[in-house]
Amino acid sequence: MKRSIFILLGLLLLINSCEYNKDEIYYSDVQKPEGEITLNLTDFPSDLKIYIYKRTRIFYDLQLPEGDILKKKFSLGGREIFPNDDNFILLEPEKDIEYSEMLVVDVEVDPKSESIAGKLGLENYIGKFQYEIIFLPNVELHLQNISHRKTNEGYFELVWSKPELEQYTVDKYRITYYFNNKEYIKEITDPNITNFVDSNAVFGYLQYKIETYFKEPIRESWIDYYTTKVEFPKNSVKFEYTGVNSGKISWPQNEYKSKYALALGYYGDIIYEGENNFFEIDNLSEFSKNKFYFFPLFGHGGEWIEIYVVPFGTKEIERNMPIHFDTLFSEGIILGQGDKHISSDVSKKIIFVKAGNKFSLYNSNNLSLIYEKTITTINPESWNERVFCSEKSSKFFLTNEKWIDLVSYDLQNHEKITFSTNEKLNYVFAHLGTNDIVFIRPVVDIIPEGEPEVEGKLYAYELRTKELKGTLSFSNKWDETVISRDGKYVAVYNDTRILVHEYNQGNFTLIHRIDFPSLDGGYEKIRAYFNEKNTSQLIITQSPGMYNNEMYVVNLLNGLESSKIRTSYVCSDPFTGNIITNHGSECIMFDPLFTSELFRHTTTDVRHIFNNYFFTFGWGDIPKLYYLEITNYLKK
Amino acid sequence: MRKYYILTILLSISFLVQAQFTVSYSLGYSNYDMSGMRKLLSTIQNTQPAVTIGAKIVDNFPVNNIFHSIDIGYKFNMHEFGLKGSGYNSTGGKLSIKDYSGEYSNKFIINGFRAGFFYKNYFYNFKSDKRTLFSFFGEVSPGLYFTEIKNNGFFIVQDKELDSFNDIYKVNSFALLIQTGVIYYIAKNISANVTVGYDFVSKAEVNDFTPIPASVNWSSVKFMAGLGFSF
Repeated sequence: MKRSIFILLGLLLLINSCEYNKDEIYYSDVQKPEGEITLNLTDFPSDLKIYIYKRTRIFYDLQLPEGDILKKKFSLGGREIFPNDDNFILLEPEKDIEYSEMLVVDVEVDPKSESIAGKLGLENYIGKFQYEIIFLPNVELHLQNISHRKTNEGYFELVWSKPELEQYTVDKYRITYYFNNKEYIKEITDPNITNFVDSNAVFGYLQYKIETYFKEPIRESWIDYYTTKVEFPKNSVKFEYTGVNSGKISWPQNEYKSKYALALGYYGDIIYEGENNFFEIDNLSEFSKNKFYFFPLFGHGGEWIEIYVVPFGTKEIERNMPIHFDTLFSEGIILGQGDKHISSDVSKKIIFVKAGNKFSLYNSNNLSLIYEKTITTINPESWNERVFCSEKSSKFFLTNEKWIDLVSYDLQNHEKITFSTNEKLNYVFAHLGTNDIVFIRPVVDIIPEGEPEVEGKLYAYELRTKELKGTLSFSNKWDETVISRDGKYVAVYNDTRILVHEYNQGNFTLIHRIDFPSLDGGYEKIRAYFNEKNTSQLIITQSPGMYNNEMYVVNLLNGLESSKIRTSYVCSDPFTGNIITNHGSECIMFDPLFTSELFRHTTTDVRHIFNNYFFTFGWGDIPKLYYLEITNYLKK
Repeated sequence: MRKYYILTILLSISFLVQAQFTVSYSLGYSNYDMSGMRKLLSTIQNTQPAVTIGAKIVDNFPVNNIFHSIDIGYKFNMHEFGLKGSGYNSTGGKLSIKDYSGEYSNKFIINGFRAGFFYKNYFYNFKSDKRTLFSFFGEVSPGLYFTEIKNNGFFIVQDKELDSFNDIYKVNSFALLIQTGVIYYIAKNISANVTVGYDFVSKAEVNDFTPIPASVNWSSVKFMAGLGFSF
């Protein structure tokens, strides 16, 4: 029985042990793919704010492992955007206000792994990169507050403000500037240095190009220009007399530490080089010798000059260096526009200058201005042929075509006068003597050729009463007439003879006659004048202005004639009687007796002389009355 | 467990019956058909996720031709009837793949056990020295085939369990074994026998699998040889 039980149990064990229990595993020997997706957004780490101020290219470097790209999606604010083929994203503010959007880059790559996960797509490389893009559209992307100032050492210093924008980290500044036609570049690698001292920048047109480079590769460099001018005003170069034979040319002191050079003429030779902003001429006569007019020193239209304003340490001044171009005029009285006349009242020591309708009175001793005024009742464009001073009635006497203007010395009263006559008077060429007698001829009518000569007339009116005091008749109305300053002598002349009459109380008396011989059937041209001071001195120039000109004087009181000198009369001084003549380009001054030469100089332009002051009018943009006191130049 | 209870009861009964009872154990050969399960396994291999991940069939329901059979009967004259427990078979199939990223396993265990009644007719006895030396007999054995289909598996990818299952399906099939054999009496109570026959078994199918059902066809030719003990 027991045996049976054992057998039965054995069978049960056998049955139990028979369930199939094989459990094999298939091992797939595949390699795990190695790799990762990286996105390098121009050095911006992920999850960073990126500030976009303007249309900006954000270059990216997307590194993908081998495999199929399942997704590569760029989106901005949820909108899909499409990068450029050249691997950049173009971002640009699209609103006028500050705003932000998320830039998301989703990438998925199937590495084609043979693993279980790979086959199920669970081993794909997935990259998701997010950036907050902050758009700032209304930001000025330029350097701010660019300006310049002067350093304590006197140098030009360019200054600006350091950019303080997010993700605009200054790497360096590059400044391009110019001097003497050369380009210079200065790089400032310390971003905190926001100034640049240009020791060469002292004058002229200064131009700076400031390039600001940033450390962020996406940021384009800024280019800013700063220009300024350091210049002198036009006509700021002055000439002034420092003595009777010395002068000084001066110009403004430059703002920056500079050295100066002065050149006369168009890029002429440099005659001065130094630190002073003036050049002293010790000897005007020597300075002007063979180079300039003696008077006015720099001509009527001025002398073209260059003032080089160069860096202080400049050793050799070159033509391309900064220059102030200007016109240098001789010292003179600046006048207004219009016709220019000068006259004098010897008794009151007044020199009267008329420019248009502006009247000025100067002291004849030192040319100090006494008084000036614009006479509004006189047309500023009127043209007066002659201007006299009535020493007796203290009035200015201005001739016009149809009347005479009389203006009181105090410039308060103006009147127009004419004289009662049946004839048409030639007011333009009226002459006022210091005796207040107005000498005036009638208008000369055209006489048909072949008609007999018609006598000429010269009327003498009293200025105060306008009464006709006398009449001088002469044989030929084409004869010239010249009246002495004091109105005492009248010379009627032509090329054949001179008839000198003395006026006294309305009567004309012939006191002297000079006849000129015929030369080869003709006559030399004759000009006759009276000395402005010694009115009894008749001055005669034969062939005036010609090479063979000759001049001599006749003392009407005794009939003595001086010797002839090859020169032509220009003017004489009512204060001193000195006589100015010229011959060719030479200006010669003689004593009142025409016996000795007081002064001689080439290229000297004298139109008037009052109290030993040379005067000549300069025309142009700035009409001037040039003057030069000649007293101390005169030979003793 | 039920099969063990039944077997225990039958064996207990055989102990309780005196003298006329027989107990025999046979070792047999059968060639049942597992093509249905193989087809299922192959189909699973060609569907997701196995087809994608390349799972391999590492075990494809090998047929274990050897089986065991225990008969407990009561014999009188030329007749014998009783209980028959036989045809226990166990096999399996498996889809598997494993790598660094994960593992997929889909395993089937098929257990089959046949239990039933039998009737043997000893239609010819050869005697010698008044002792029956051997007998030829015919046998009819109706019964049930208890089929157990275990299906367990898991799918782990990157340390994440995507799937896990452990299912057991049980199917009972009618069976009818018809066989003939010869028994040799080694001693009075000990005998040896050999049989040959065919076991007709209806297919065991489980329709819970997709896309095709799991099916096991236990029908087969059976050869058995065993030892008997009578008391």
